[in-house]
Amino acid sequence: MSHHALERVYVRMLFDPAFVDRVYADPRAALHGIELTETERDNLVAVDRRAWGHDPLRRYRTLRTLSDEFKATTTLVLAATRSLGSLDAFFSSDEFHRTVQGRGLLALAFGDYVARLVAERALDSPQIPEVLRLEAMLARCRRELESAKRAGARGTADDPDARIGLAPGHAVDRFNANVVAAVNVAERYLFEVGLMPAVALCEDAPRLDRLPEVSSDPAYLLALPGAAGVSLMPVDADYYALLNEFSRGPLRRSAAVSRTVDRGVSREDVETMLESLVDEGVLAVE
Amino acid sequence: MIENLPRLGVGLSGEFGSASKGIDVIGLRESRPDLVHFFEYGADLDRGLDDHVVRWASAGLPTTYHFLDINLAEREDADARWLETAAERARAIGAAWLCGDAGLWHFGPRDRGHQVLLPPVLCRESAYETADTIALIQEETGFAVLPENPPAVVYLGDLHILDFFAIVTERSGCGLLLDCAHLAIFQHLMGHAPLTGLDAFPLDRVVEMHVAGGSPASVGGFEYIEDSHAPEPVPATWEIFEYAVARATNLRAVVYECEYNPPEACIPNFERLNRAFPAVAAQVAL
Repeated sequence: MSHHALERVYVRMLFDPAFVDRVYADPRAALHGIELTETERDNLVAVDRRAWGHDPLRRYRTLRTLSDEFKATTTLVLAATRSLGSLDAFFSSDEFHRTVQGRGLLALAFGDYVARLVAERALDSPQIPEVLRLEAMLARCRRELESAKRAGARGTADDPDARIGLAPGHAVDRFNANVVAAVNVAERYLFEVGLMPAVALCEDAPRLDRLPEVSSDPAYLLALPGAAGVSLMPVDADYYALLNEFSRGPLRRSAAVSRTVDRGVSREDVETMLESLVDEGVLAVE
Repeated sequence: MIENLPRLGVGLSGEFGSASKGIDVIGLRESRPDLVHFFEYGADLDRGLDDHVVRWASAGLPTTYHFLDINLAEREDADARWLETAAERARAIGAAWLCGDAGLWHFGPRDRGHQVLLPPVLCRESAYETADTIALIQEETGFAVLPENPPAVVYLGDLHILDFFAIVTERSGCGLLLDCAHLAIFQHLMGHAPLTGLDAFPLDRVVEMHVAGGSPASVGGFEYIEDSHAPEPVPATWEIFEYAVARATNLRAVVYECEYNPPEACIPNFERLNRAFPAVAAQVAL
């Protein structure tokens, strides 16, 4: 099926002029490892190379769509780098090319790219990794929810052998206590400049407020589907201890109970929480 | 299958919300019932049907469902969710058939940021896969599917685009949608005369034709025709249309894709199209 491989190379060339340069300079080297025939490689470089750049806003348009899901992260990264190019470079990154050629999800690749950018450039904004982790969790939940297949429950919550897992679109994680406050700072800034985008030209335009410090206290956040998509709900440490047992996949009920008890939560509380989480659809019985 | 399809006459294209930004097809129909006889609604799963197409359909007026989110050239893209939802919506507006550009509406999975409109790789393998996807959709939805030759600035593969679609219809038995403006773009890019290849093309399989405006464009000195949907088609589009309309013995519908223009700028071309493909037979059929 090399025509599919060729289609994906086509997409990569539309997005990345540096890749176009490499393909035209040495097609065999630039396309090494991709299942293409000699004729197909010749076909690519027979195109007038100027044609690949006919849509100069393609990268920016796509970046805007990706930024919708990583609003706070991209805002904080741009504030730290002062460079649109820092994010635009995603479309020339290994993460982008691997994902397109491998038929993967661009949003998740973008999250990976930003994580690497933050690490490599040691950006002076300690909240970014946590904010990125939070927004990436939400992005994963949205996709999981969309691709979830309707499956009937085959067990009951009180069956010790029943396997229980987080229902599609749910996830839980531990963050620093100020992560949501940091997201709110970014979103408030975006709201203010969004009222009149031309303020970007002004020296007295709204600025990003000072971000709260990274707290040593934890915030346990549950992502869950709601009417307006996936939203967040804080949970207490005991609920987190139980829910986090399911983060790597479904478990037998008995295993989830005993592991959570081992973490210092009373068996009675675990049993009660399990029942309510199943009732509320946060956990699903397989 | 195509012999039983209704004759619709000349129609207008639209998509979610287009009536509020451009031509209000209901208003145009009220003021000039002789010009627009059906509405071709461009739809994707995310946006669904808008109030305008629902009102049009509720009045008992004919529609067709133009998909904007299925990769006919990629068999795995025709998943159960798309098949069920698209068919349900097409039935809801009484669509006479499904149609749309055959190629890629997105790269990789159907997801945010993946949107693009690319032609299929013009090779025999891709034509076979396109035909097989069409056969599957026809079988699963019960609707006839008309693949459309898509616009592009870069085409890959060794076949003329008309030969590609001839293979598709031969293998699947489907009808065809000949977009005269897109064909004019292809012929210009390849350095062909407007009618090149039409003499051997199965025009008797053409059920629908599109006419739309194009605009000369260039990037770095590379010149091409942009599929701008401006009011005025380029001369080659008219040449193709006039040739094909005289020979397409199973033609049922002609769409003038002009929905984002002022109505008064489009009236003369609607009148011209109605002269070429008279509405009388359409009214009898309705």
